[in-house]
Amino acid sequence: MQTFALLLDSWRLLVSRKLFWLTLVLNVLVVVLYGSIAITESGVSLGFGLWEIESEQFRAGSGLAKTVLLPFINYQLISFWLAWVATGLGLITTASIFPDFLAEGAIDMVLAKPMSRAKAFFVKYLGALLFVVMQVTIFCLGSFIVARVRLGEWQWMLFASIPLVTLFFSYIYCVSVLVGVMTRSSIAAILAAAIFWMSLWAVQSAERVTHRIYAGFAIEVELREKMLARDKVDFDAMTAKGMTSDDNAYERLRGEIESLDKRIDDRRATRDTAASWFNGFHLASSALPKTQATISLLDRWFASNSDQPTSLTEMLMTTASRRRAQRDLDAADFVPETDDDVERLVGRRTDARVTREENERSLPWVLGTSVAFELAVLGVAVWIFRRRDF
Amino acid sequence: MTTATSELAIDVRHASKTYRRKVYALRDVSLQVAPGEIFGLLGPNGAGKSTLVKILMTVIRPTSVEGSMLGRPIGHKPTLRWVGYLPEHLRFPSYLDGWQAVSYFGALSLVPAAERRKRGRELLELVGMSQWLTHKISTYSKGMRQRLGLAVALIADPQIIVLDEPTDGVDPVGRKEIRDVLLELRRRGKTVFVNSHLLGELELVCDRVAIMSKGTVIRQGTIDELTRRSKRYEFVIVGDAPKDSTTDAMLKQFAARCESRPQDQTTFIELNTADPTEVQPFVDLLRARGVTIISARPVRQSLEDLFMATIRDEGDKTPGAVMGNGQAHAKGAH
Repeated sequence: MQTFALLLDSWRLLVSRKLFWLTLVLNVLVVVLYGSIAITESGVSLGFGLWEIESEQFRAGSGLAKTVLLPFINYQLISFWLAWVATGLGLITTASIFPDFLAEGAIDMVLAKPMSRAKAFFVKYLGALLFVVMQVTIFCLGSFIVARVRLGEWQWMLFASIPLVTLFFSYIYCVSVLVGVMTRSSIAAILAAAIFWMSLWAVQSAERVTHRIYAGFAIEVELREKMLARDKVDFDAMTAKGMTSDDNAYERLRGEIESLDKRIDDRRATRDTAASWFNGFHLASSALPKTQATISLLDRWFASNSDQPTSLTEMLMTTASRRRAQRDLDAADFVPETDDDVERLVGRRTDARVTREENERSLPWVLGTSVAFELAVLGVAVWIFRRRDF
Repeated sequence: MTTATSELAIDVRHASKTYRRKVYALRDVSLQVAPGEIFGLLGPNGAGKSTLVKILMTVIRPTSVEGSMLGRPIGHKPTLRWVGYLPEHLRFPSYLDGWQAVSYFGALSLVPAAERRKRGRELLELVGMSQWLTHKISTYSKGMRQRLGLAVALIADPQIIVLDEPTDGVDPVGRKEIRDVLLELRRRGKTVFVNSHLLGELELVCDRVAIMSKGTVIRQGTIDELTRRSKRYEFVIVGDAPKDSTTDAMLKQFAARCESRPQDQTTFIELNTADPTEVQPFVDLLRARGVTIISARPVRQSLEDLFMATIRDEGDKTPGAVMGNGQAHAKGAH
């Protein structure tokens, strides 16, 4: 009875906020915007036919539009809109819930009831998460219907975004709650959430960048080691043939081997430095909530359920270029001939390796460590709340 | 105190609250409230009244406390099901309407929905808010919020009702209505614990009072017990008081207990006795000397006079090292 009453009160609080309705209207607008995209005979139509974009690739009957463009927009909308815009609005809307709850004269009425403080705290917290659940559910429902109309299939995977986006929101909101409990100030709670969110973004971006640098140098070292091994075999063959330093080819190859050796040493040193930076950021990131990785789970699940693209680069690649790239990547024993070959392969393989290694991070690791952080922050908040005199 | 300890509605013993930096809000406070009585807690701002009330309601954690409320240890959460509370500076969620507030807090007190509906309407009628059921609380005046707060405090049909400044912001008519509600609650056998600085209000309804100052209870008892020593008779007579007391044994006897002051053509005489049988010889004496008595009436000290005198005496006796709740918070008590 008490739990229901507190949740009902949270619901009443949320619907009394103008921001709740503003976010709802924005969500519906985004869904309508998505629904306004249609595939026509000549290309893509936007705004229910207001604008036409002629396209050979994306037009009715091409197959590409239905299998690539619309699903891509669908999932990118969730990743961007829900994870960033709706969450930001949600944090602003819900930041005052705890400061208002703890205000003098208001909290007395709740604490004087036959209910533990911990229960009041956690139910109130769950009530705040209702905001996100409501908004995401409405958005997903709309997208689900639009996807059925436009794609002709039920995209049940869309509903996975409800728990994921709610988790994403809760990672940041718990900090807002902690500061709200400590200061009883909505402004301080919003500021703390914003700073924390930015810090997470900074740490995760730094981790990703150092990961890319590290992976890039590691791949380069691997490729150049293959080149070195091949050159050494060639050199040994030349020696076996009795060639000496008087021969230009023999001397040039020896020079190349020395240069390659030196370059590999140089790259190894850089790789090791990048590795230590990456390990540092990875360690920091491990202890913090994984916001990007949590939302990326959607992409991961989506990718594992179809052969559709999950990134803009991938989407823009033609089928032929995708096949070529895939062939390069698959050819593990391919040995580059030139520096240009190395650069090209490093560029291609780095993305793939980073994505693969990130995708190898298990679900319990991504969600478990994030939820552990959230529980730790909430633990501190509830400890303060339970001990505090009002 | 005639009630046995086990039968007390509230039995607080050795309650203390010390904030950081040795700021004492309460020092070894003990008081007892019998079932079915209206008990008033008096004291100046910062005396520790609200701190004591909040300890009873588990809003503040005491540094130490013994005793019980409704037979269970103070701080026992399930017991609060049977305790109604109207806090000072009451603040309802502004997005609720009157009915929603009553229902919400009733649910938190574990009152079943059907009971909430039935009792809620009766209570809102009782406090004169039935016309405002569906209006948002944000549109209410302060007095209306207090009335609503009273209804909320009563929604669980509590055995004890703890009211912290219940008439704060309420107009004289509303105050009278709240007093009537308190008397009605007593008639129904409820125990009412009122914390107020409006002494006149308390005097009209309280069976017993305690006076707090600087974190301690300095006096407690029935209003009659506390003011007994101040009971006296006041006479107004025509002309001067009789002057020959040195020669008249009886007048001499009264003179020790009399004070007189001339007022225009009359004289005002105070006779320090509460016993009417002792007054009769004095009247006879005055009449025998041909004095014209304009008026004769028994009087006693008002609660306000008693309170002021007690606080003044206490201020003379105790060095001020104690702060009240509000000050304690301001001093960084958290």
